[in-house]
Amino acid sequence: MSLASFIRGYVRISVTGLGTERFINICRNNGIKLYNLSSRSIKADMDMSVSDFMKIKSAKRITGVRIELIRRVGAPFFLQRNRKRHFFVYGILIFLLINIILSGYLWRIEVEGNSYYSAKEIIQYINSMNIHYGMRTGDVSCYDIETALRKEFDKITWVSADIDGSRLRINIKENEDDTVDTKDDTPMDIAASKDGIITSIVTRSGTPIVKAGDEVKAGDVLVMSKVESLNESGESFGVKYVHADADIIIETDYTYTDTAERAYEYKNYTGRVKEGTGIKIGNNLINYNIKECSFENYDVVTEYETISPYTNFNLPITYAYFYYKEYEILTAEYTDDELSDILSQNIDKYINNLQENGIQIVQNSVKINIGSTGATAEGIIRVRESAVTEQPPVMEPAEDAEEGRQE
Amino acid sequence: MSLINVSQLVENYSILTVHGKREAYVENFNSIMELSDTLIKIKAKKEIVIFEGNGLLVEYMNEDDIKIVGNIEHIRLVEVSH
Repeated sequence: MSLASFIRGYVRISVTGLGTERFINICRNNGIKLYNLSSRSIKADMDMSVSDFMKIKSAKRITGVRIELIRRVGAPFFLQRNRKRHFFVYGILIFLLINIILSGYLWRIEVEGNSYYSAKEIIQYINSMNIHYGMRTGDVSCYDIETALRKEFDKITWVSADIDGSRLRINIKENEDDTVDTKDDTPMDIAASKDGIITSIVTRSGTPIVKAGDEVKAGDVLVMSKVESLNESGESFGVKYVHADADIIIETDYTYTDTAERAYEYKNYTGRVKEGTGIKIGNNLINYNIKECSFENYDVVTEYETISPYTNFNLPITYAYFYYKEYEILTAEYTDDELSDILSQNIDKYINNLQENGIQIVQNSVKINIGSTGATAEGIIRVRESAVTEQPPVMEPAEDAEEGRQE
Repeated sequence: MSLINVSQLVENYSILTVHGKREAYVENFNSIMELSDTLIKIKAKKEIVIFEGNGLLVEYMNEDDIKIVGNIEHIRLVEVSH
């Protein structure tokens, strides 16, 4: 018997008598469906639906068999049996009602097809559009989401948003090429951002006013946006302003200073740890296990465990585990070698950081001086870098206007 | 050569389908003649089909067909004399 039969309800009957086979045939001829028909001598057991059970009276009268109701199965009988258990029935009805109501709200947001943008980033943006978990799915405008995502995320070339039950599904396709045209036509000069000497200059657009070997100060214009058009005899017949573009390398000096004290304090963990648990609701952290930690000095390490019924859907409640680690503060002194190592490592880190930003180191003249209370590292690091900035040009008034004033 | 009318053929004959030893279907049958857990005798259009075995059970029966399950040992066809 299927689920549908269970919902409609069915009965199992036992038919006894000499006309059992005849009874079965009459049932069949009257369109009554019989299931799980088993027979032994003059007795046959069978299942039939409740509506069919109401139709067997004439067959019973004709054949003279005795019919016994063995079992009643299915939802109608279950409800009939429990009709006096009001709260039980109400509970089921309330459960169904809550299910139906909640299915009309948004409980999941799924993002597929993204590789450059993270799902979190996209969901955060969707949330900023006032689309959030728990809102009515009828209020979600898929068209608006699609338009907004295409507008906000440059690399997204195609978006499809649809509501599937209580789930918002977002399918995106990203542009895998990095060729985003960012050509800017606003007139801009290129100026030096640091003092130094020009090492090389390659101009693509604009008028260069410095050359390699020139010494420049921060703020000096290096490439002008003003471009004059000259005729065959070298006379200017027009001026236009462009967005200056050039590769300029400037050799400049960085002053480096660093100090390290010989005496230092460090935390010596005693190994004693106290644990506690808590709960975080929204931004409120509730520590309900430990009153006050008795250690004099301790670090608190808190681990959070989010509760996620589905992917990308975290409940605003988080479990928190606290670990109070006791430590004592001890003092010690570095040796000369250790001080030298610390400062050398800091210099290396500084230089690596510069190189990662595309800055070329030409000369490093940093010296380490070790004294009785500590050590210092001082010196100059000469580098080559593209130390330039863009600034709006000072536009000259048009020539005819000047002429007008002179007259 | 005469053409065979398919619908007439289906009406005049019963179709017996057997799936291994555990299942058998009879389509287009007339009535059940005898029913027990060791023997089921079905009157088909032109013959009587006798299933013998043990634990025999009619899983369902409607106007069109009947499904018999159980441990089927023999199936016999006996011609009906008209």
